[in-house]
Amino acid sequence: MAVVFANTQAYTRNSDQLTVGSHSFCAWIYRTSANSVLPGLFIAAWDTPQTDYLYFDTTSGTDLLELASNEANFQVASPTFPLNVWRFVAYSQPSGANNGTAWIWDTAGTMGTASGATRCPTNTIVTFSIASAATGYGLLGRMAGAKLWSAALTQAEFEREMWSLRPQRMANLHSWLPWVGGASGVDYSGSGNTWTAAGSPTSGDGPPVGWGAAPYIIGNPAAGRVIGPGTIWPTVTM
Amino acid sequence: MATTRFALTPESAHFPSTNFPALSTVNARPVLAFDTTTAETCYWTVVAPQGLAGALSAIIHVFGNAAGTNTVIFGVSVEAVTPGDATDLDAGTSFDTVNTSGAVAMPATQGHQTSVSVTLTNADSIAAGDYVRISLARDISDTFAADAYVTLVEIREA
Repeated sequence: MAVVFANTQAYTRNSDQLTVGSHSFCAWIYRTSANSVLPGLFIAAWDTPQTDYLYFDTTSGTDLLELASNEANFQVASPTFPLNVWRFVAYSQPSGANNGTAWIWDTAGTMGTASGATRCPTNTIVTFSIASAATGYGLLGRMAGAKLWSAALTQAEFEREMWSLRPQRMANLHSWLPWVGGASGVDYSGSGNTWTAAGSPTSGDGPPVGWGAAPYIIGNPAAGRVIGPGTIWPTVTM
Repeated sequence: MATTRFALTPESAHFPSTNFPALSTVNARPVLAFDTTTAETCYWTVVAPQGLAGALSAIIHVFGNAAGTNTVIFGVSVEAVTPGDATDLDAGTSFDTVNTSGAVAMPATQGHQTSVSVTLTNADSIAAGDYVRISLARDISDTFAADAYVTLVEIREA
């Protein structure tokens, strides 16, 4: 299951101090059509009156993953992000004037990355918006397994996150919106960072990604193991 | 006496890149939603537990998102690889022939659960310690015209 955004929907947090420091975001995203003005923002942060901003999207016309700020922007050349395919995308933005990095993986695991001179906004950020309808350039598509950390994650950490909707890194986890149960702004990270819905996001089919739990494997009572009838051993980690 | 060997939950499934059941919830119950018009598949990876020796069967717990007595059909495949086998895992899959259930009538009342039993005659010579994948697919030649929600698959040893 995934949440469906149709340009006029979004999940937003106001008065959030997160983006004044290091932060990272990842999600599975499926673009269904290009926004009429811009291809559609996956997530954006800005202050008031938008003197500083940072946004994560695809470039218009060329379907390249992009990380942009008022300081600079850069794109990932390959793999591209065409319509009607699932991609796992992530970015990591250290605090201050340090370069940000963006990554994109296709479902075969092919990865592309780029870095550039984006930077964290210097002013206090007051709005942080997934799918970003308020900008008028909102995402037209689906999203699942969105995770946001107040830390700069590495490529290896994102690779651990890719094939599990359940977070692997709990430290600094700001928000986790799996959207397995349908559209909701509830944060499952335990941090209580509920997101406010704009419009009425709906639900649709999700990405080819599991929850990340282990199947149960039952041992052999006849072999003399000290287990009772029905005892279940979760012995495999996926 | 039959012994339960694997309990395969929706949360532990993994998926091909296309044509896979949606991982969803119904009343907070995790389900795999198998479509009625697109043949969808998912997998579980397990180790064959020590002591495994008998014939296996799969019991698929399922309910529908519509009422009706039309039938569902599921297929279960097993891929068992013993360390040292000549199977080229880098080149492709080696699932044994699909084991198909009979046509099982869905409950007349929407939301009621039934079970679909599949005898795993073709179990790829599974043996204790094997690396095993189990594939589950709905056969869309069945007649149940709605999503089939799988809540659990039990692999049982006779």
